[in-house]
Order: sequence, then structure tokens, then C-alpha cells
Amino acid sequence: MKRFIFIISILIMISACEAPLDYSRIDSKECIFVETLIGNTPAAVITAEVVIPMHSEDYDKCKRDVSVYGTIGGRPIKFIDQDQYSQGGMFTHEIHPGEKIEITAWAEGIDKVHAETTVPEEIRLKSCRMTSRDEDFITFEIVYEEDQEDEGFYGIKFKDIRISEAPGIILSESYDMVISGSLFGDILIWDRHRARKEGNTVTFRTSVDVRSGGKDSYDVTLYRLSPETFHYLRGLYIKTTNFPSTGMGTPAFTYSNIIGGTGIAGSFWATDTTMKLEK
Amino acid sequence: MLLISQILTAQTTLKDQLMAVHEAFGVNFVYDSSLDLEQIAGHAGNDVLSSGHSRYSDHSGYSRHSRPDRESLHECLDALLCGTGIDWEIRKRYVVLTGKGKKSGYAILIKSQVDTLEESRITAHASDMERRSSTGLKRIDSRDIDKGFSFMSSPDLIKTIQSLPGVASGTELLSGLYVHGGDGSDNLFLLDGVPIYQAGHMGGLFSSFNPDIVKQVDFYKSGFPARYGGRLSSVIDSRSSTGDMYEYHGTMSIGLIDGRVQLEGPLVQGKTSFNLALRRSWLDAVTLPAFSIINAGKENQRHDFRYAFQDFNAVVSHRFSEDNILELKAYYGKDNLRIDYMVRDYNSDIERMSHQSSDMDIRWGNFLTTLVWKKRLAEDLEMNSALYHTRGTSGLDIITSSKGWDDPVVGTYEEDYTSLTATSAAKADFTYKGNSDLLLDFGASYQFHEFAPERKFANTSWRYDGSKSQTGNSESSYQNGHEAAMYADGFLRMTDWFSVHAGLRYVLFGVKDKVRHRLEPRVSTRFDIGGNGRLDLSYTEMNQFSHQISTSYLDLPTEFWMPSTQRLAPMFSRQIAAEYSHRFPFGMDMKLGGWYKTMDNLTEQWNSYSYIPPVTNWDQSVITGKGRSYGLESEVEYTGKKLSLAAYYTLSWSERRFEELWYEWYPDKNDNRHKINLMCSYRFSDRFDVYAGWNFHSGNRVTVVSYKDDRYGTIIYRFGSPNNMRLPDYHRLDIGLNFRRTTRKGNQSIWNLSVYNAYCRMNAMFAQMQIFTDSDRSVSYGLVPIIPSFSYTLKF
Repeated sequence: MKRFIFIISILIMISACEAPLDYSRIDSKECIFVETLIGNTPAAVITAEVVIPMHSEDYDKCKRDVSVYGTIGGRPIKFIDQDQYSQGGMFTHEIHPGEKIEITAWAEGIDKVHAETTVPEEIRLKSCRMTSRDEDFITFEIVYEEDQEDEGFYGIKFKDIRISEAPGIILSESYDMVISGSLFGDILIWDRHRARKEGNTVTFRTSVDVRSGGKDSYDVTLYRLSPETFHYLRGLYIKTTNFPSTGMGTPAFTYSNIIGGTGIAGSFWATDTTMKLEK
Repeated sequence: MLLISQILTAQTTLKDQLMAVHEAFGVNFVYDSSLDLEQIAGHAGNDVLSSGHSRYSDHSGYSRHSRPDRESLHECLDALLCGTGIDWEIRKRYVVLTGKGKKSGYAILIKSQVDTLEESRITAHASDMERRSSTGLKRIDSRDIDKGFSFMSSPDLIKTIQSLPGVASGTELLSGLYVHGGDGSDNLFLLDGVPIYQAGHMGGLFSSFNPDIVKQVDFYKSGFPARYGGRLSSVIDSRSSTGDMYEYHGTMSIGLIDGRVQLEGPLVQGKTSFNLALRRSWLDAVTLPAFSIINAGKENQRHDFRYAFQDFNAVVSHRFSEDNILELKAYYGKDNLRIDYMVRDYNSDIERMSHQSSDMDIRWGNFLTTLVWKKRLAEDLEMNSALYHTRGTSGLDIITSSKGWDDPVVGTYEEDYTSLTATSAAKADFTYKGNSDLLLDFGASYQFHEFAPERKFANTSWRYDGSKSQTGNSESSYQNGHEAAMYADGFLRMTDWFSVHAGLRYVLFGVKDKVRHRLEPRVSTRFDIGGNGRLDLSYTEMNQFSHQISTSYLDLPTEFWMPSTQRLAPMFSRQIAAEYSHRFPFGMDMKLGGWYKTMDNLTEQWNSYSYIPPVTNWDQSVITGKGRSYGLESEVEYTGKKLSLAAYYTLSWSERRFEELWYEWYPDKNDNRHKINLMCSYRFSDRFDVYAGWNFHSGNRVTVVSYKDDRYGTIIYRFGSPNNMRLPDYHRLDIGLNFRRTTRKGNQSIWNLSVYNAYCRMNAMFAQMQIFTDSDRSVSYGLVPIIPSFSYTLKF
């Protein structure tokens, strides 16, 4: 029996519980990555690149030219200082709510990719006010209108300051998502489940950590996001949290609407306003 | 009488004749293991052996039964054993046989003695099932469960089912059942016909089904009869044993983690019986004193860990007559986990104390009770009606408190979470047996469902000046639902080689703001091919009106159930399946099948970054999508006198499509392409048998970064589709040894020694990709090493 226990102990000790994984196990082949968020701003950027699988070391393939063709409401996108068929880049544009944006990209030897998004309407804002604040946290409320059958996606960005979530003040705030490092900078996003809807009036109330920036008023940008933009930002948020990344959570880490490739082609409508402390 | 005479005429060995006596008189035999019953020719003639017989079966399979008188048994044994050199002695329901030579121990003739009436009922029922069964049915009885591997001392029903083809087991050790591409929350667990909401103890390590009281289980993965509904992917219909009407006996077992006691017997001889089974883990009996010792003498430190699970089954059965039976059944199961710690530190320089503590209490469990009335209404019409109540509950309490040396306040955070899922129901099932070519099942049920999750928290701060501030909130949901169903299910043999089994189930489900109704066709056909082969084809539709709201695959007690609502449609599946089975003459059975299944309105949690799903607006916090699964499955089984072999293989695909996650189909987490299970048991003697099982499946899937590029001189990582990487293949070997001893009184003691994962393969349970400034690496983590365990069981 002693020998048996000894052998088992040795077996347990020598068995490593952490093992490197072979990247060839990942289902991927080289494809085109496209990233663009187009809104009611004067200019936008489309990035289009060839990406290679994780197991590949052939980085030269990433340097291949990618051609991009896009339309907004049927009007071709004209890239600045480039032909209409280009590797993407910056372009000026004019967009209107409800217009369809279509983007196609291709490169030699790689499947063509395609994406679509529809420009959302502007947020129908009724009020945007701060209800309380202390040194670190502010609590605010945004009231807007939405059609009964509509289920919009929204975001708020504080200009010139960084924000983070303030969990634990209100239970439902534990579901807040502040995404850092996105194309928007620090943006807090929400959807139907976080806001209270009564008739056509929607109220979103939450708190954020403004990092010792306690002021009585803030310049903010409110966004109405296309579903693609929201899903993409949400994917960025979730993949940075630890719990699901272990593989035991639901597989909600990624989002892409680039058919045949990966990335995002999304749209938004931004509205600038000032949030003031209600006294 | 004629039947037994015919049986005995054919018996050539003493063992066969003893078996016939067992059949006739309901007694078992304990014999000196030096006796060779196979070699000794019996002496008895039909006239003697038939004398005490008093049992026969009618054409419908219902048996008539009365106990044999003791004098007839005496006469029979005298005649049978006269001149063989074997002495015999009747001890209650056992007959002890002893030889003249040296005794090396005792053996028991019938390994698993069951009440003969019950056995005949099972036999009759099995015969019906055999005729009616379609694709995807596996019947597992208590002997099959006992023959399986005993992890941590006791065989487990769910782990037995996990080994079957077409079933993915998910995370290692847990009780996940992902049947034909299902998502784990779509299995209908029935205990005595009553749904059970939490089918696992210890996070799924043990199932809620106590093996001591489980009599048989019907596991369906396709070809569902119309009497079942409410879940998409499988039905696990477990039945408890009723108690022995004439004798008291039971089982006691103690293992590495838990202990079990089961006792059954008559309350009124021949009329009323009971069967009780209690199981409790005793890990806390070790950790409680251990932590007391660890904490002793430490004023500024306290640690405590306690975990316990327990369950209790009770069956009381009363026979008004052979055709009129009333049964009261109950189950109570509970898990409790408590983790506490406290650390204080005194800083003498500033003369202040820091403090940190956390108390966490998690509990979850089930309670169910049912009153069943079985009555034969006419010669060809049987009724089985029941009233029942079932509830699953869970709760989580956390209190954390902290204060640094310099903090001016002491902060306390308290969180309470509870959930309740309950169903009260009435149902009546009828079976009409027109003739051997026509069987008709029909019935109706009404269920009242309640769903009530609740979450509260409070943040409290105390300042040195005595002032206190508190913030808190609570959210709760209460939903109820009404579910009414009726069904009809008919079996018709059209020709000698072709049968049709067709059913229809109508379901009406209503919640506050929405009433839905569905019609679910269930059709199967059977072609008998040659003498021993048959081909079954089936088509079934299923709806599921309850959704498990969860954020992980870990069976956490923070998960809860909620009904379909105005916004959230019921889940729906369609499945076609085909199965060819062949019975070979030398004890070998073979099955080869395939399926294609589609699923709609599957849910994924939108807010997977919280361990507690949203209690309010929960139906808006999930996204819905589709699933599909297809594959081939095969079984080969051989059962000999000493050797039993089983080999299962599955080739399958399981995919998901959630538009809000990815634009095309992607693999499901449990998309295990290949699955192989090989099992072997060998009985060296009546005192020693061994079991070995090898389990293999392609790895589960996880999501990691898919792509990279360095167009601008720095490597940038990009994500691709969900579940884009397959973990390494999973395999392990389990070994079990049983040392058995039978005493002269017929008691049987069993020492079981089991080794889980015998070659200690650290199978990857999850994976993570780590990205550094100038490099990256992906690693998998395995947590389950070799686990030896033992148990001692006494059957008396």
C-alpha cells in the first residue's frame, strides 16, 4: 500500500497542469481584415489589411495590397489622394440616417470580403443631466425618445477625460460596459436591457468613475450606434474580461460583419451636448 | 403451473434448476462457493418442482402473484438436492446450500434480487417497449449502473449516460449532458415522472440520482414518445424501486467522500412497503476539525471551509390489489458550501488595526413529492395518474468587510441572491392494449410553473465618528406560467415486417402577456429485417418553454430558470434519426444510427461578464440563435457469463449561428468530432471482478485570437470566429476492482477500489492566450489528475 501511495504521489507531482497549445489548432486561414466606423463626422477611415493565421510566420503576406471599394447611399467613396480602388485610408463624406453603407475589399489570392451597415438615426434627446457627484463618481440620467418597436444601441463619451465603470452603486450597473482603447476612445455603451422604457420615452441612468475630475458640467458626445458597431464594441469589452476568456463562459467574445474575412464595418450618429449638475 | 413445468423440463444443471426454483418461489440461494452448480445434474422432476408454484402471467403482461407456502418449498428442495451431497437451510428469503468439503466462502445465485412481482412488471413493460421503441432509446437498469465505473465510491447515473454514443460530456467531472448537439439545459430529468431542476451535487461531480434506489432509467435522445415534452434534446426518465413487500433488507456504503444508507421492507406484509435511501457527503466532518486545529491560537486569522451535500429518497407503496396501487414518493436534496476567512493585522507604529474578512454561503437543492395512482380500469386499459410538486432553489450570501490601517471608514458589502423554480402539476396517462398489434397511449397534464429569482445588496460604511452611510438595492422577478398538454401515441403493426408508431402532442403555454400553443408530431416506423435485424426511422418535434439563464458552463447555483415570454420565443427542435440494430446469436448486439437535428431560438447570455445573470429584464439580456447537429453513432455490446464488453463510437458535428455574434455558422463548444468509449468487465470469480473503461473524445472548443499582422512593424492580433480552437484530444482510463464476499446469512460485502484517470493525463479543461509586448503564447490548463478512491458496501 505504501508503494502504491508513493507511486501515485509521484505521478501527481510530475504531471504538469499547464501545457502550451499548438496554434495550428486554430481554425483560420489568411483573410482580409477591415475596420471602419463611419458616422456624421466630416471624415472617416477604412483600414483594410491581410491578416495571417496565428501559426504562420510568413509576415510578408501581410504586406500585400488590398483594394477597397465602398459606397454610401449608392455614392462611391473617394479616398483622399487616392483612386477609388485603394488600400483604404481617409475619406470625406456626407451621410444621412437610413443610408446603406457597403464596402468590398479584395487582394490577390484571397477571397473577396463584403460588409454592410445602415446609418442610424440621431438620438432624440429630451434631457441629459447629472443628478449627483462626489470626488470620484458622478451619477447621470439621459432621457430620449424611441419608437415603441425600436430597440436602439447607444453610447456616451466624455470629452477630454477618461472614465471607467463604477460598479456596485446600483445593481444593474454591474452590467455596464466602458470600452477603452476603441476607435471612440473611452465609451460607455448600453442597449435595450439597461434602459427603462415607458411608452416612447427611454431613461438611462448610471454612474461612472471620472477619476477625480469632479466638475459641475461635462461636455459629452451621445451616440446612436448601428447594431454592428454596438456588437463590435461589446465584443471588445468582453474579451478583456477574465471570466469568459477561460473558455467556460459563453462564446460571446467576437463579432464581425465582414463576410469572408474579419473586422467591423459599422456606423453611428453623434450628438454633442453638455451635461450639467442638477442643483 | 404449466409454464414452470416447461421451464424445468429444459434444465440440465443444478444451477438452472435453482434458477427455476427462484422463479417459482421468489427465494434466492446463498451457496458454498466450492460447489460447482454448473456440473451437478439436478434430480427433480416436473411433478415435484411445480408443486409450490403460484405465479403466472396473463396475456397483457400484468402478473398475478402470491407467495409460495414454506412446506412446498421444503418438498421441492428435498427432492432437488437429495443425493447431491448438498445440505440446505431456509433463512428467510434465502436458501443456504453447503457442501461436505472445506468452505472457501459463500456466493449468491441471483446477484440483484428484486421483488418478483416488480420484475415481472418490468419484463412486461420491457416487452411493450421492445415492440414500440424507436430510435435513440437506451434502457439502463440498476445492474447496468452498478456495473459501471464508481467514481469517488459510487456509480453515477449521469456519468453512465455520458459514456453513451451521441452524448458529449462537456467539462470534465461535471454532469453535463450535451445530447445530439444540445446545450445542456435541454434535457428533461424525470425522477418518478416528476421534473427535477438541479440534477447535480457538488457542481455536477455527483448526480442527484442515488444509485441505491434507482431501479431503471429510460434515456431517449431521439424518437421521443408523445408523452414526453418540454425539453429539446433528451429525456432521462428515472424510476425508483418500491420496497420489498415481504422482507427487510438494505444497503450501507461508505466511500472516500460520501456515505449511503438504504433500507426497504414491508409496513403491512404483502400490502404496504417502504424504501428509504439517504446519502450524505462527509467532507465537512474532516474540514471542520482540521480548520479548528489550523485556527487554534490565532486571534488575528480565521479560515473555514465546509462543503456538504445530502439527499433523501422515500417511496411508500400500497397495494389495494394487484391492479390497484397507490405510491407516495419524495426526494429532498441539498448542497451547502461555506467559505469564510478573516485576517487582522495590528500596526504598532500607528496603533491601528487593519481588517479583512469574507463570509460566503452558497446553497442549492431540490425537493419533490408525488402521489401516484396506478389502476387497471379494464382488462385492456390501464391508468397511471399523479399529483406532484417539484422545486429547485438556490441561494448565495456574501458578506465582505475591509479596513486598511489608514482608512477612516470600515466598509461592508453584503449580497444576497436567491432563486426558486417550482412546478405543481396533475397528470393522467392511459394505456390501451387492443391486441398484440395495437397499443395506444394517451393522456393529459396541467402544470403550474413559478419562477422567482431575487438579488439584493448593501454597501455600508462606518466612520470613526460613529456616522454610518448605506447604499443598497434589490431586484427581483416573479413569473408564473401555465402549461397544459395532451397527447395520443399509437403503435400499429401493419404487417409482419412493418410497424408504425405515430403520436401527436398538443401544448398550450401561457405567461402573463402571451399564450402560445404548439402541435408536436412524433412519428417512427420500424422494419424487421430477417430474424434478428430491424431498421427504425423517426421524426420528432419538441418545444421548450423554460430557459436556463446562465453565464457559464459550470452549473453554478447562480443560474436560474425563466419561462418564454412575449419577447423570448420557446426553443424548438426538429430531429430525424435512423437506427439499424442487429442481435447476433452469441450474446452480441450491434446498433448503427445517424441523426440530423435543427434547433431554433437557442439562447446565449448577452451579459456573460457577470457571474449572476440579470434578474430583471432577463429576457432582454439573452440573444437567440440557431443550432444544428448531425452525425453517426454505433454501439457493439457483448454480454457473456464472465465477460462483458461495450464499444461506442460517435462521429458528429455540432454548430451554432447567432447573428449577433458571428455572420455564419461556427462550431459549438462541445463539437467533439470523434468520441470513443470502450468498456470491459470481467468476473474472475464470485468474489472478484474488474472493470476498465477508456474514454476518448476530440477536444472541446474555446475562443482565442485567430489572426495577426505586422503591416506596420508591430504585431497586431485580430479575433476571428467564436469557438475557433479545438483543445487537445481528451482521453483517460478508469479502472475499478470489486472484492465481494457473501456471508452465510446472505449478506454481501463489497470492497471497491477505483482509479479515475489511471495514467494521469492532465486533460485540457480550458485555455487562455497570453499576449505580451513582444510575444504571445497559448496554454491549456488541466486540473484533474489521477484520482484513486475506495468504498465499502454492505448489502443485507
